[in-house]
Amino acid sequence: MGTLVSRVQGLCGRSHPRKASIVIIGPHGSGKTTLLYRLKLNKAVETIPTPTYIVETLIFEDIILLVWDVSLGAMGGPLKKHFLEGRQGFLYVVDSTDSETFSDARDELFYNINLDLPFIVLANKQDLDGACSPSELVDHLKLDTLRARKWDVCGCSGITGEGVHEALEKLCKMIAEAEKQ
Amino acid sequence: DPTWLSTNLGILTCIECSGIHREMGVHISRIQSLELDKLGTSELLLAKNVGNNSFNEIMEGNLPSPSPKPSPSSDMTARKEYITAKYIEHKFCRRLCSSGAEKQGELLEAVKSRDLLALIQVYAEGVEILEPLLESGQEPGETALHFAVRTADHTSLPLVDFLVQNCGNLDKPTGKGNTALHYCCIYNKPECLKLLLRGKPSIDLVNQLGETAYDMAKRLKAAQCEELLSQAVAGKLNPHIHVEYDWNLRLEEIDESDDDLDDKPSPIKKERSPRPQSFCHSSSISPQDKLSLPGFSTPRDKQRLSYGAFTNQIFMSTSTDSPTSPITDGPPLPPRNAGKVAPGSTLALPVSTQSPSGSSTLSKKKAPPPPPGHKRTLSDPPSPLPHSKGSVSWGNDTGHSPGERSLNKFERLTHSAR
Repeated sequence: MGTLVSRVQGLCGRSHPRKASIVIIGPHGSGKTTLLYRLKLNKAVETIPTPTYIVETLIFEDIILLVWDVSLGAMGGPLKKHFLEGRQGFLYVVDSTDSETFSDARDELFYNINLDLPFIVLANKQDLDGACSPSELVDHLKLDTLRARKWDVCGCSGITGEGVHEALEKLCKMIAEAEKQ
Repeated sequence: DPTWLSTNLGILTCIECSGIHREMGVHISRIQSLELDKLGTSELLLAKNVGNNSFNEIMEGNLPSPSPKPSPSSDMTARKEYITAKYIEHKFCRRLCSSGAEKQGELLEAVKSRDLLALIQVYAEGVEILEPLLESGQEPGETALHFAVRTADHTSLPLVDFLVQNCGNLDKPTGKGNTALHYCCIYNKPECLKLLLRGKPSIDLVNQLGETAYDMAKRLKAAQCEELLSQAVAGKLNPHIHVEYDWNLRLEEIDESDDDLDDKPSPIKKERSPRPQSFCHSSSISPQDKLSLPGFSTPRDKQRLSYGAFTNQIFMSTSTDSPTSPITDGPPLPPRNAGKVAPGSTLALPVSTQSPSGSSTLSKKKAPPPPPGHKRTLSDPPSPLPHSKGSVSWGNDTGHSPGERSLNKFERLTHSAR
């Protein structure tokens, strides 16, 4: 079947489609699964807490993305780095209305995660009242102390879909740049 | 299976309902997992003192008949409708007060008499928690939170916690510009301070004397408060801080959660699936050791994990001992991390970048159609899955976790694609 796939791809003039695999991580209830299905299906789905992880493939522009939505909770924190092995980048999702999780999120981002990968911090739930802006989130998470790394921050909302695709586009660009180097 | 806890309301829910609770936002209900999250004593304070029974007595006191309450087999939309009505509109709660002033009076009375359930009752009736109390206390413009902090002792900590988590604004000052944080320092209430700091109030607000709470603690030599505040200023406060409280647990008091809509008519817990051989060693360590481990895996585990990258099993933590909250673990030093994810759990690691050539999305464009059935699973949102499974709940039945499911399918796909 593999030969068949490549033959079909060859006929379409794209023998080597670009591939990347990325991970979506973040605290419980920050909206990772909602974002994943917003990216894949472009609609808001009803989700329930993900006990472990979900994997979906999606095509974004000319890249085939394998997206891991990893939700291990606080207990699985140290395992997250294994999920990041061999990935090209990740999205870190934070619930911008929930200031209580900011310090946990900061600790996780600084201590449990391989920050050499390009990543985007998503200030999710911008549609809700009381959501802090992406720049406020940078302050809360003290992201400015990471200046040398490849990162960015975007506001988005998995429910309305605002900003989600832009963020992914940005990440794909960052991944492409990282690959060139 | 009640494996999820709403830490601000003190109730347990099943995984499906917790999804809806999460969707309502953290200002309504803050959901944490009993198994996957680390719960400190501060999170369990309300769970210990509220519980589903008492909570539902209030929130469902006025349930119309026939009851709209969904059953474990109800689908997501029915649940969502009911939960929204119950928690956001407070539609089914019993109503005892007619006027706003009466509610304010009841609010004061509840805090005075340290009656948490009375407090929840007025909360359910939609009292303005942030309004200054009618009876002026020490200072003009005291809110219920100020009053609760001022009069707090060990028995009233759950009330303070409830007010902190549900009042919406911790920074409201009295007439003299004192916030609840200042009050903690004036009256030297370090336990209240811990609860307050968890809610992330603004630390740098000054009162009319131009003092922040930290200055005040220094001046009044409230050493404990001073230390907590200095940690908070540095952003180093442990969010799962231990709260001194008389837990007063007896064995029979163990909080069996009961008849919430969210609960399944729980099927007898199955014995957990045998652990993979290679992890058995870790089950020999004592619970104390487990708690003290940084995560729950020893370095050796980690090594194994990184080698055993091909295991696809996920053993969720269905510990055999108790299905309920970690409160059961006993009072003197309630568990830091509700050590429910058993140390032997294998977590499947991502199988390193397999090419997704056979995936559904792709196949729509070029690839030959995947074997029947695959397409649906891959592109389906996860939500319908548990329902189609009837009463089988995810918590137990790890074989049906969506991740594994899609991974397996996915893997099969990739294998067949080669």
